[in-house]
Amino acid sequence: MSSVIGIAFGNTTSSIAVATPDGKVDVIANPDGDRAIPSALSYVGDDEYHGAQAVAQLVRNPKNTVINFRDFIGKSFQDIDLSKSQASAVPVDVNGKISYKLNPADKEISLSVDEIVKRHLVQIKEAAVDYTGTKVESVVITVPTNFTEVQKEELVKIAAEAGLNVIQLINEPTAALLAHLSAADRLLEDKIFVVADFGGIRSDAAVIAVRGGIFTVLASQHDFNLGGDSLDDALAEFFSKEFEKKFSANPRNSARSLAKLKAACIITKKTLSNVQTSTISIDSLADGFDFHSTINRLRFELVGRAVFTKMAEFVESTVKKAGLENLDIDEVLLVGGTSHIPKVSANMEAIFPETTVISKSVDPNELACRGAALQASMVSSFEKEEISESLQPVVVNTLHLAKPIGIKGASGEFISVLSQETAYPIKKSVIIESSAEDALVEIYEGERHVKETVVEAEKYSDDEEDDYSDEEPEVVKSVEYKPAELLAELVLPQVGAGSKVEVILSIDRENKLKITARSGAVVVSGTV
Amino acid sequence: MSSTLPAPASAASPSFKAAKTFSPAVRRPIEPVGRYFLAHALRASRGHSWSEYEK
Ligand SMILES: Nc1ncnc2c1ncn2[C@@H]1O[C@H](COP(=O)(O)OP(=O)(O)OP(=O)(O)O)[C@@H](O)[C@H]1O
Ligand SMILES: [Mg+2]
Repeated sequence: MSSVIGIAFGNTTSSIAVATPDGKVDVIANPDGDRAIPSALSYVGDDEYHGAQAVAQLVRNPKNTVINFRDFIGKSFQDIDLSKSQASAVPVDVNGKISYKLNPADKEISLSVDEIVKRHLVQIKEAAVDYTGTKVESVVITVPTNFTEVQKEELVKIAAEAGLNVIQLINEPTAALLAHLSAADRLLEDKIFVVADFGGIRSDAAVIAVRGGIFTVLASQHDFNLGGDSLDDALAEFFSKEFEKKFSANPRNSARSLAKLKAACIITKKTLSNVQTSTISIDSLADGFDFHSTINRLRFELVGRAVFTKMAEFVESTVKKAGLENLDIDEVLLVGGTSHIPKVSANMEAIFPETTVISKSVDPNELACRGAALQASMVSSFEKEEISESLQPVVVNTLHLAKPIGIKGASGEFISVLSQETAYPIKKSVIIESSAEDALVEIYEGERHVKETVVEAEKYSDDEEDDYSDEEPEVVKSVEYKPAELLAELVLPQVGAGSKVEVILSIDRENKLKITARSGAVVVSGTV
Repeated sequence: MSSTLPAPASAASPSFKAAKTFSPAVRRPIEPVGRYFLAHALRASRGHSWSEYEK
């Protein structure tokens, strides 16, 4: 027996999932019981610590603890940002290669970033073997959409050295969306999504069109200085001020005090995702003074306000980058550990119209590995050549419909049949009733309009803020499509009022639109 | 939604009239995941087109 698994490999945490034969997906816990396994290694004496045990070493043993290394894969030293390594082992330049000089047992060891990644993946693999009780055969690993070909090749190579056969690398947002839609059997709904991934040291967003079960990334964006870490820092600064006021001692002066404070802030922050109030307790934070305090969720939201605002703006600007407005987004899928925070989804609800669904699963940081596991179980039966053939540009680089194509209904409305951004080749059919004895099928290209509907203001209850209780009518905007350009006209005589007419639209790779309309024995067909 | 088809001005016999071609398509990569992609890839690699499936 052997299993195929999916791995989400983040700078902050990694997670593993395995698809069972009955189509279910299990997220695997490591021997510490963690499903979000910190991507961290620490060396003490002759021992290697991994995951949460390594993170715990950031206070006592930061110089021998390596974190935030995922984004260094396949990069040369001069291209990396060292700011995320300041509270841990700092990378050094060894002939342009990124390396860590550690000193765990009074003798220096030098570990390249490749070696660190390899050791991390070995630990991940062992956790999977431990959990499944079988050999791990092949894996699908997720990568951010900005990973370069060089980085991808390097990751596959290192994984192989760790004993993992990578059958495919897939994009993080796509993996998350695949898991989200597969779980609810919603792959065939044509929708435009934003996958908003708020992680530890970075945030990523992607606008993805789903058409006939096929995913197309319309735009993606990355912020390498936005994430849960920014919130930890804001919280640490807030408590530092409080501590200083109380004891006239500054915890920022010592790396050790700061590390203690940061670790405690992370716990406090996570607690506030579940409950309204949290305590923070740190023995001997600085100058021998203990620190005990409490904070409520509202205060935390104020402390992190600049960060939360940036996150909302980041998502909005990604929508703009795709040439769309918030109105065009059917659903926002929240992903990543920081998406646990209620304020993050509240902000999404505030900036998107009511028609946009904001989705947040119970475990937003488990979606990516679930998607990877689904993909792994799907492609594991294929030969290597078949998989690589399917990834060739001729297969993947596909024409997409620029504007929707549909039928003009009896009241002049646009009945969309083919959504914009559908990948070629396309084929779809609809059934419509004829309003009269003879039927006219007019095929139109649709044009986007923003419809404004005036709704009478509701009477708000007293606890709402006063500013919003003015009884001015509210204008609600929504996107609708109208018939714009006539493409073809089909006449079907004597079908009978109320009879059903099937209209089939298809576009082949040669960019020809074929239209067929039939009702009973009457069939009309042509090409545009 | 209960849309219906309108009636033509006159309907002597079944007819098809092409009016205009649609807007130029945009080339973009699709994401190689999921079973619908797999079906797409299979069709593409075997050079099949929809028209073969139509009848
Ligand atoms: N329940 C929670 N409430 C608030 N924040 C949380 C919670 N759980 C995890 N986090 C935060 O989520 C972040 C990690 O998110 P995630 O695991 O998605 O990151 P990653 O993708 O591995 O990292 P990166 O984005 O840095 O590459 C950390 O800042 C962590 O503190
Ligand atoms: Mg991430």
